[in-house]
Amino acid sequence: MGSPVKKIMLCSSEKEIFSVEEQVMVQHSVIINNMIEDGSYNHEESKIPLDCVDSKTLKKVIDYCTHHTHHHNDNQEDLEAWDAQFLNVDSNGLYDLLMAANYLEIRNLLDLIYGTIKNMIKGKKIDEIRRIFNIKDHGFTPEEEEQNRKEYPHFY
Amino acid sequence: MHYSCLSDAIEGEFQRLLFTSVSSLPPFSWYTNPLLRIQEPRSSRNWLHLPMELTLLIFEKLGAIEVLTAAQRVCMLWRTICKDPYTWRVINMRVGVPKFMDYQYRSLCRRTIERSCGLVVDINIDYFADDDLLNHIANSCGSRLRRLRINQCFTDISDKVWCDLAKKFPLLEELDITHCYRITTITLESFGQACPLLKTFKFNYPQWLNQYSSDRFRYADNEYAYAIARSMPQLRHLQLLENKLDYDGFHAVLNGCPHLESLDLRYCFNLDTEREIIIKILQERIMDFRLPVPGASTRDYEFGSLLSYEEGMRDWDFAALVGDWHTFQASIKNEKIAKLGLVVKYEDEEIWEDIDMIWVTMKNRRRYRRESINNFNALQRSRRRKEHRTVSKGKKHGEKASKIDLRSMCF
Repeated sequence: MGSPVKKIMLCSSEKEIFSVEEQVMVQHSVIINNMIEDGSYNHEESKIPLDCVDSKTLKKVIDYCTHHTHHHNDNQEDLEAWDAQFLNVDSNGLYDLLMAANYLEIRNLLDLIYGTIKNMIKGKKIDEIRRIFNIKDHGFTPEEEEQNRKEYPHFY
Repeated sequence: MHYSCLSDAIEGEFQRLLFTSVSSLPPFSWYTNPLLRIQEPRSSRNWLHLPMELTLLIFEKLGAIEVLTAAQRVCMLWRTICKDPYTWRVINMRVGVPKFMDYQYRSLCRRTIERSCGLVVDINIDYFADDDLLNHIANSCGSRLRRLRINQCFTDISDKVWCDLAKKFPLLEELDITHCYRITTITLESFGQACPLLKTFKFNYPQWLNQYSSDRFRYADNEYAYAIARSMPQLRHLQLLENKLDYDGFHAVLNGCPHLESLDLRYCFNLDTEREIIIKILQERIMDFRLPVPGASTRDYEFGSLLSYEEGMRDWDFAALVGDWHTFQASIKNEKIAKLGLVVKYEDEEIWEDIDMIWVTMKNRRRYRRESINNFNALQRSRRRKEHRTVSKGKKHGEKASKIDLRSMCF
């Protein structure tokens, strides 16, 4: 028998290796759960390559999973406060997190991110939304844009 | 919601394929045009390169109204997504605080249904639902609909309409009728008989609105529980908040729905939780149950605050107003009862008129400001005045006035 807590290796796009408790990732990530279950992961040799996730994001994702595993029974409000603090990142960071969560299929984190994005958009004017999401080329012809602005001035 | 395992698996696979093959890479021009590479470093993420599935999910969360008003004018890609019928498989028309008048919501809802080309499987509508709209939904996408949620429907939809509607949703798996007035047992039974696949039923009905008495929960009323037990034998999940059932109703539900997996009876204070037999039965039969414990958490219940009213309504003290109105009415009734020595039944058209009228008045903020309707005398005066006005000037004028009002309050 090895160490009492089984660990798995995750490898970020920068080839940095993170060692995480197996239980933590299995509980949250559908992909890793499947990998462990069907036996394609070898505890001695293999590490899971995550080429689309950079080190910074991966670290955050692991943070999230670890916290939610160990503080599962905490007060709901404390957890929510922690989540809010956790997602207090700029839109680039949010984008990376969304992609990573989607890749690893972490349902709870995905829901959390969708909620945050929803709050970012909700009730905003179109120009603001464009600025938040860094959309420079909206792809409308100038005439269309002009007409839209004329017809619905209150949305801009 | 899992509509079917197979389609879910395919969707997931497609998402992964899309992700690994296209979206992890920068767009093609990024490779060919060196200038772009300098202008657009990897550090600034382009949200338009998000996989379409993810954008769709964001739109779903955002709700149809926000998408149709703002999001679809943000950029061409988002507009294209909005025109795709697949986007409107799930229509979420929750309103929260009303921004427009009812008829605008109705036309928006119709437009989304047209865009979906009848592909809708999940629809969630708010207080603006009326006969016409529900009929339209039933006729255009009823045969595919799996999930129907209607919240806070204050308009008067008769039993006959509900019964006709129920027949048009043969595949319905989840029905959620929350805070809708005047739903009768006949409606429940017709849904139960017409929708054999019904697995989840949420019927959260503040029954205290139906009676004048201030001790709202004293009298047990098992009619609804019996109707559910009679007509919905396939139920897996049942939520009955603020219901007035007691032990008999509870027993009937457990016997009538043998497959029940979860049962939520928060705020059903007629059910005596002290009786050990209830707990014992529940522990034997059902894994997931919630009992009417005072101060039970309503975090997962959207209308938790609606044990008074929803956020938007609370601002206007609608709940308090209705509550006061009931105590006021109760005092009058009690006097009458004392005089006549009679037992008055709960159903009385008059009080419904009053509630509708409060509701209408609350929606029209200009009138609300002008007249202090906390004072019930003023309320009745305004009602009389309103009747007078509609007779003299006709309906068209009223509509126009509300339109102007909307502009000022919305933007």
